[in-house]
Amino acid sequence: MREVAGKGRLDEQEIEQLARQALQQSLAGMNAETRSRLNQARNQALAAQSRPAPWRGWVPVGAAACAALVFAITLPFGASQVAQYVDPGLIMPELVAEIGPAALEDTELLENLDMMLWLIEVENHAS
Amino acid sequence: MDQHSAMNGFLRDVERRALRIAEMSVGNRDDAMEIVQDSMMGLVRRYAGRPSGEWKPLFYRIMQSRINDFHRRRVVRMRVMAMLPRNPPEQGGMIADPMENATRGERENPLREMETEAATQAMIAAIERLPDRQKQTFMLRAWEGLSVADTAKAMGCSQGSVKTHYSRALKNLQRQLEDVKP
Repeated sequence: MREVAGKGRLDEQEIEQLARQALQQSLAGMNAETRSRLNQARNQALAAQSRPAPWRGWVPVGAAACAALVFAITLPFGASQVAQYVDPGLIMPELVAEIGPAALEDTELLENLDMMLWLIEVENHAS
Repeated sequence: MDQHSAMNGFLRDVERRALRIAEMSVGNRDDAMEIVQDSMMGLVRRYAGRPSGEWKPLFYRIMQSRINDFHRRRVVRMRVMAMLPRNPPEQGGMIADPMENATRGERENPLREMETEAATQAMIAAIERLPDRQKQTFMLRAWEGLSVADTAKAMGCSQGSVKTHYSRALKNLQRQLEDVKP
Protein backbone atom coordinates (compact mmCIF):
# COMPACT_ATOMS: atom_id res chain seq x y z
CA MET A 1 0.00 0.00 0.00
CA ARG A 2 1.26 3.44 -0.89
CA GLU A 3 2.16 5.76 1.97
CA VAL A 4 -0.79 7.89 2.93
CA ALA A 5 1.05 10.33 5.13
CA GLY A 6 2.63 13.53 3.89
CA LYS A 7 0.93 13.63 0.48
CA GLY A 8 -1.62 16.36 1.10
CA ARG A 9 -5.32 15.77 0.47
CA LEU A 10 -6.10 12.57 -1.38
CA ASP A 11 -8.66 12.64 -4.14
CA GLU A 12 -11.70 10.36 -4.06
CA GLN A 13 -10.27 7.73 -6.37
CA GLU A 14 -7.10 7.52 -4.29
CA ILE A 15 -9.17 7.14 -1.16
CA GLU A 16 -11.15 4.28 -2.71
CA GLN A 17 -8.04 2.55 -3.99
CA LEU A 18 -6.14 2.91 -0.72
CA ALA A 19 -9.13 1.75 1.27
CA ARG A 20 -9.51 -1.36 -0.88
CA GLN A 21 -5.83 -2.14 -0.43
CA ALA A 22 -5.93 -1.55 3.31
CA LEU A 23 -9.04 -3.66 3.82
CA GLN A 24 -7.64 -6.41 1.61
CA GLN A 25 -4.39 -6.38 3.58
CA SER A 26 -6.33 -6.56 6.82
CA LEU A 27 -7.63 -9.93 5.63
CA ALA A 28 -4.08 -11.22 5.78
CA GLY A 29 -4.37 -10.96 9.55
CA MET A 30 -7.06 -13.61 9.48
CA ASN A 31 -5.56 -16.67 11.10
CA ALA A 32 -6.04 -20.33 10.28
CA GLU A 33 -8.55 -20.84 13.07
CA THR A 34 -10.78 -18.07 11.76
CA ARG A 35 -10.60 -19.43 8.23
CA SER A 36 -11.46 -22.85 9.56
CA ARG A 37 -14.49 -21.46 11.43
CA LEU A 38 -15.65 -19.74 8.26
CA ASN A 39 -15.26 -22.99 6.39
CA GLN A 40 -17.36 -24.79 9.00
CA ALA A 41 -20.01 -22.08 8.92
CA ARG A 42 -20.23 -22.35 5.14
CA ASN A 43 -20.48 -26.12 5.22
CA GLN A 44 -23.23 -26.00 7.84
CA ALA A 45 -25.16 -23.51 5.76
CA LEU A 46 -24.77 -25.61 2.63
CA ALA A 47 -25.90 -28.71 4.52
CA ALA A 48 -29.07 -26.82 5.42
CA GLN A 49 -29.67 -26.26 1.70
CA SER A 50 -30.35 -29.93 1.17
CA ARG A 51 -32.72 -30.29 4.14
CA PRO A 52 -35.66 -27.90 4.11
CA ALA A 53 -36.63 -26.17 7.32
CA PRO A 54 -39.21 -28.28 9.20
CA TRP A 55 -41.67 -25.40 9.46
CA ARG A 56 -41.58 -24.70 5.74
CA GLY A 57 -44.47 -26.94 4.74
CA TRP A 58 -46.70 -25.22 7.27
CA VAL A 59 -46.13 -21.72 5.92
CA PRO A 60 -49.05 -21.65 3.44
CA VAL A 61 -51.35 -23.17 6.07
CA GLY A 62 -50.17 -20.69 8.68
CA ALA A 63 -50.53 -17.76 6.30
CA ALA A 64 -54.08 -18.82 5.42
CA ALA A 65 -54.95 -19.24 9.11
CA CYS A 66 -53.51 -15.82 9.94
CA ALA A 67 -55.39 -14.22 7.07
CA ALA A 68 -58.63 -15.86 8.27
CA LEU A 69 -57.95 -14.67 11.82
CA VAL A 70 -57.29 -11.10 10.72
CA PHE A 71 -60.43 -11.16 8.59
CA ALA A 72 -62.49 -12.53 11.47
CA ILE A 73 -61.19 -9.86 13.85
CA THR A 74 -61.53 -7.06 11.34
CA LEU A 75 -65.05 -7.90 10.17
CA PRO A 76 -67.02 -6.66 13.20
CA PHE A 77 -64.81 -3.68 14.08
CA GLY A 78 -63.28 -2.31 10.89
CA ALA A 79 -59.60 -2.46 9.95
CA SER A 80 -58.61 0.95 11.27
CA GLN A 81 -59.91 0.22 14.77
CA VAL A 82 -58.24 -3.16 14.89
CA ALA A 83 -54.87 -2.22 13.44
CA GLN A 84 -53.60 -0.78 16.68
CA TYR A 85 -54.30 -4.01 18.60
CA VAL A 86 -52.85 -6.50 16.14
CA ASP A 87 -49.28 -7.58 16.59
CA PRO A 88 -47.53 -7.27 13.19
CA GLY A 89 -45.97 -10.65 13.92
CA LEU A 90 -49.40 -12.25 13.68
CA ILE A 91 -49.94 -11.19 10.12
CA MET A 92 -46.36 -11.44 8.91
CA PRO A 93 -44.94 -14.67 10.37
CA GLU A 94 -42.43 -15.12 7.58
CA LEU A 95 -41.24 -11.58 7.88
CA VAL A 96 -40.67 -12.06 11.58
CA ALA A 97 -38.77 -15.26 10.88
CA GLU A 98 -36.73 -13.44 8.29
CA ILE A 99 -35.65 -10.32 10.10
CA GLY A 100 -36.30 -11.16 13.75
CA PRO A 101 -39.05 -9.76 16.01
CA ALA A 102 -36.84 -6.95 17.28
CA ALA A 103 -36.49 -5.60 13.76
CA LEU A 104 -40.18 -4.76 13.70
CA GLU A 105 -39.29 -1.87 15.96
CA ASP A 106 -36.86 -0.56 13.38
CA THR A 107 -38.57 2.22 11.47
CA GLU A 108 -36.01 2.08 8.69
CA LEU A 109 -36.71 -1.59 8.06
CA LEU A 110 -40.44 -1.05 8.31
CA GLU A 111 -40.15 1.56 5.60
CA ASN A 112 -38.86 -1.19 3.36
CA LEU A 113 -41.50 -3.76 4.09
CA ASP A 114 -42.55 -3.59 0.47
CA MET A 115 -39.34 -5.20 -0.63
CA MET A 116 -39.54 -7.93 2.00
CA LEU A 117 -43.16 -8.69 1.25
CA TRP A 118 -42.39 -8.78 -2.45
CA LEU A 119 -39.60 -11.28 -1.84
CA ILE A 120 -41.91 -13.47 0.23
CA GLU A 121 -44.60 -13.27 -2.42
CA VAL A 122 -42.19 -14.27 -5.19
CA GLU A 123 -40.82 -17.09 -3.04
CA ASN A 124 -44.29 -18.45 -2.28
CA HIS A 125 -45.25 -18.19 -5.93
CA ALA A 126 -42.14 -20.17 -6.91
CA SER A 127 -42.78 -22.94 -4.37
CA MET B 1 -22.47 -25.71 -12.34
CA ASP B 2 -25.23 -26.93 -10.01
CA GLN B 3 -26.84 -24.71 -7.43
CA HIS B 4 -24.96 -26.24 -4.50
CA SER B 5 -21.59 -25.60 -6.12
CA ALA B 6 -22.60 -22.12 -7.17
CA MET B 7 -23.70 -21.27 -3.62
CA ASN B 8 -20.50 -22.76 -2.22
CA GLY B 9 -18.46 -20.63 -4.61
CA PHE B 10 -20.41 -17.50 -3.74
CA LEU B 11 -20.05 -17.98 0.01
CA ARG B 12 -16.39 -18.87 -0.29
CA ASP B 13 -15.80 -15.70 -2.28
CA VAL B 14 -17.66 -13.40 0.05
CA GLU B 15 -17.09 -14.89 3.52
CA ARG B 16 -13.81 -13.27 4.53
CA ARG B 17 -14.80 -9.80 3.42
CA ALA B 18 -18.20 -10.25 5.07
CA LEU B 19 -16.53 -11.25 8.32
CA ARG B 20 -14.29 -8.20 8.20
CA ILE B 21 -17.22 -5.90 7.45
CA ALA B 22 -19.24 -7.39 10.31
CA GLU B 23 -16.23 -7.21 12.60
CA MET B 24 -15.76 -3.53 11.86
CA SER B 25 -19.45 -2.96 12.55
CA VAL B 26 -19.80 -4.83 15.84
CA GLY B 27 -16.27 -4.48 17.21
CA ASN B 28 -15.26 -8.07 17.81
CA ARG B 29 -14.61 -11.21 15.84
CA ASP B 30 -16.73 -13.74 17.73
CA ASP B 31 -19.93 -11.79 17.36
CA ALA B 32 -19.04 -11.03 13.75
CA MET B 33 -18.52 -14.74 13.08
CA GLU B 34 -21.94 -15.54 14.51
CA ILE B 35 -23.54 -12.87 12.36
CA VAL B 36 -21.85 -14.13 9.19
CA GLN B 37 -22.83 -17.73 9.94
CA ASP B 38 -26.40 -16.68 10.57
CA SER B 39 -26.46 -14.69 7.34
CA MET B 40 -25.10 -17.64 5.37
CA MET B 41 -27.77 -19.86 6.82
CA GLY B 42 -30.48 -17.32 6.07
CA LEU B 43 -29.36 -16.91 2.48
CA VAL B 44 -29.11 -20.63 1.81
CA ARG B 45 -32.39 -21.51 3.48
CA ARG B 46 -34.49 -18.78 1.94
CA TYR B 47 -32.90 -17.53 -1.23
CA ALA B 48 -30.76 -20.30 -2.71
CA GLY B 49 -33.35 -20.75 -5.44
CA ARG B 50 -33.12 -17.15 -6.57
CA PRO B 51 -30.83 -16.07 -9.41
CA SER B 52 -27.21 -16.00 -8.25
CA GLY B 53 -26.90 -12.36 -9.30
CA GLU B 54 -29.27 -11.46 -6.47
CA TRP B 55 -27.39 -13.34 -3.77
CA LYS B 56 -24.92 -10.65 -2.83
CA PRO B 57 -27.40 -7.84 -2.01
CA LEU B 58 -29.67 -10.38 -0.28
CA PHE B 59 -26.79 -11.75 1.78
CA TYR B 60 -25.72 -8.30 2.88
CA ARG B 61 -29.33 -7.35 3.57
CA ILE B 62 -29.64 -10.29 5.96
CA MET B 63 -26.28 -9.45 7.51
CA GLN B 64 -27.32 -5.83 7.98
CA SER B 65 -30.46 -6.98 9.82
CA ARG B 66 -28.36 -9.17 12.09
CA ILE B 67 -25.96 -6.30 12.78
CA ASN B 68 -28.90 -4.04 13.64
CA ASP B 69 -30.24 -6.72 15.99
CA PHE B 70 -26.81 -6.96 17.60
CA HIS B 71 -26.66 -3.22 18.24
CA ARG B 72 -30.19 -3.24 19.68
CA ARG B 73 -29.33 -6.06 22.05
CA ARG B 74 -26.13 -4.29 23.07
CA VAL B 75 -28.02 -1.10 23.89
CA VAL B 76 -30.44 -3.09 26.05
CA ARG B 77 -27.55 -4.88 27.80
CA MET B 78 -25.78 -1.58 28.42
CA ARG B 79 -28.92 -0.10 29.95
CA VAL B 80 -29.34 -3.11 32.21
CA MET B 81 -25.67 -3.07 33.18
CA ALA B 82 -25.87 0.64 33.93
CA MET B 83 -28.58 -0.12 36.47
CA LEU B 84 -26.49 -2.74 38.25
CA PRO B 85 -24.10 -1.61 40.98
CA ARG B 86 -20.39 -2.53 40.98
CA ASN B 87 -20.29 -3.84 37.47
CA PRO B 88 -18.01 -1.65 35.41
CA PRO B 89 -17.94 -2.19 31.64
CA GLU B 90 -14.35 -3.42 31.63
CA GLN B 91 -15.44 -6.35 33.81
CA GLY B 92 -18.57 -7.05 31.82
CA GLY B 93 -16.56 -6.95 28.67
CA MET B 94 -19.56 -5.91 26.63
CA ILE B 95 -18.48 -2.48 25.49
CA ALA B 96 -15.83 -3.39 23.03
CA ASP B 97 -13.72 -0.58 21.69
CA PRO B 98 -13.65 -0.91 17.89
CA MET B 99 -10.31 0.87 17.75
CA GLU B 100 -8.82 -1.70 20.05
CA ASN B 101 -9.96 -4.43 17.72
CA ALA B 102 -8.74 -2.73 14.58
CA THR B 103 -5.42 -4.51 14.60
CA ARG B 104 -6.47 -7.64 16.41
CA GLY B 105 -5.61 -10.95 14.81
CA GLU B 106 -2.50 -12.97 14.42
CA ARG B 107 -0.02 -11.68 11.90
CA GLU B 108 1.19 -14.06 9.26
CA ASN B 109 3.82 -12.00 7.49
CA PRO B 110 5.40 -9.57 9.95
CA LEU B 111 8.13 -8.23 7.65
CA ARG B 112 5.77 -7.22 4.90
CA GLU B 113 3.33 -5.80 7.37
CA MET B 114 6.01 -3.65 8.96
CA GLU B 115 6.46 -1.78 5.68
CA THR B 116 2.82 -0.94 5.26
CA GLU B 117 1.48 -1.15 8.79
CA ALA B 118 1.21 2.57 9.45
CA ALA B 119 -0.59 3.42 6.23
CA THR B 120 -2.91 0.44 6.50
CA GLN B 121 -3.74 1.14 10.10
CA ALA B 122 -4.38 4.80 9.40
CA MET B 123 -6.87 3.90 6.70
CA ILE B 124 -8.56 1.11 8.69
CA ALA B 125 -8.82 3.33 11.75
CA ALA B 126 -10.28 6.13 9.61
CA ILE B 127 -12.89 3.76 8.16
CA GLU B 128 -13.75 2.49 11.62
CA ARG B 129 -14.31 6.02 12.84
CA LEU B 130 -16.96 6.62 10.16
CA PRO B 131 -20.58 6.70 11.38
CA ASP B 132 -22.21 3.28 10.94
CA ARG B 133 -24.26 4.00 7.83
CA GLN B 134 -21.35 5.71 6.07
CA LYS B 135 -19.04 2.87 7.02
CA GLN B 136 -21.45 0.24 5.74
CA THR B 137 -22.09 2.08 2.50
CA PHE B 138 -18.43 2.70 1.90
CA MET B 139 -17.40 -0.93 2.46
CA LEU B 140 -20.21 -2.37 0.34
CA ARG B 141 -19.55 0.04 -2.52
CA ALA B 142 -15.78 0.48 -2.47
CA TRP B 143 -14.68 -2.95 -1.27
CA GLU B 144 -17.46 -5.37 -2.04
CA GLY B 145 -18.15 -3.64 -5.34
CA LEU B 146 -21.94 -3.48 -5.07
CA SER B 147 -23.74 -1.07 -7.39
CA VAL B 148 -25.69 1.84 -5.93
CA ALA B 149 -28.94 -0.08 -6.53
CA ASP B 150 -27.66 -3.28 -4.88
CA THR B 151 -26.19 -1.34 -1.96
CA ALA B 152 -29.58 0.30 -1.48
CA LYS B 153 -31.23 -3.14 -1.44
CA ALA B 154 -28.63 -4.50 0.98
CA MET B 155 -28.98 -1.56 3.34
CA GLY B 156 -32.71 -1.16 3.01
CA CYS B 157 -32.61 2.47 1.98
CA SER B 158 -33.02 4.56 -1.15
CA GLN B 159 -30.37 4.95 -3.83
CA GLY B 160 -30.26 8.65 -2.98
CA SER B 161 -29.35 7.80 0.62
CA VAL B 162 -26.60 5.49 -0.60
CA LYS B 163 -25.11 8.27 -2.73
CA THR B 164 -25.30 10.70 0.17
CA HIS B 165 -23.71 8.30 2.68
CA TYR B 166 -20.99 7.38 0.22
CA SER B 167 -20.14 10.94 -0.64
CA ARG B 168 -20.00 11.89 3.05
CA ALA B 169 -17.84 8.85 3.79
CA LEU B 170 -15.33 9.89 1.14
CA LYS B 171 -15.19 13.48 2.42
CA ASN B 172 -14.88 12.21 5.97
CA LEU B 173 -11.97 9.91 5.04
CA GLN B 174 -10.29 12.69 3.09
CA ARG B 175 -10.49 14.93 6.13
CA GLN B 176 -9.26 12.28 8.54
CA LEU B 177 -6.33 11.21 6.39
CA GLU B 178 -5.27 14.78 5.81
CA ASP B 179 -4.39 14.90 9.48
CA VAL B 180 -2.18 11.81 9.24
CA LYS B 181 1.16 13.49 8.79
CA PRO B 182 4.51 12.74 10.33
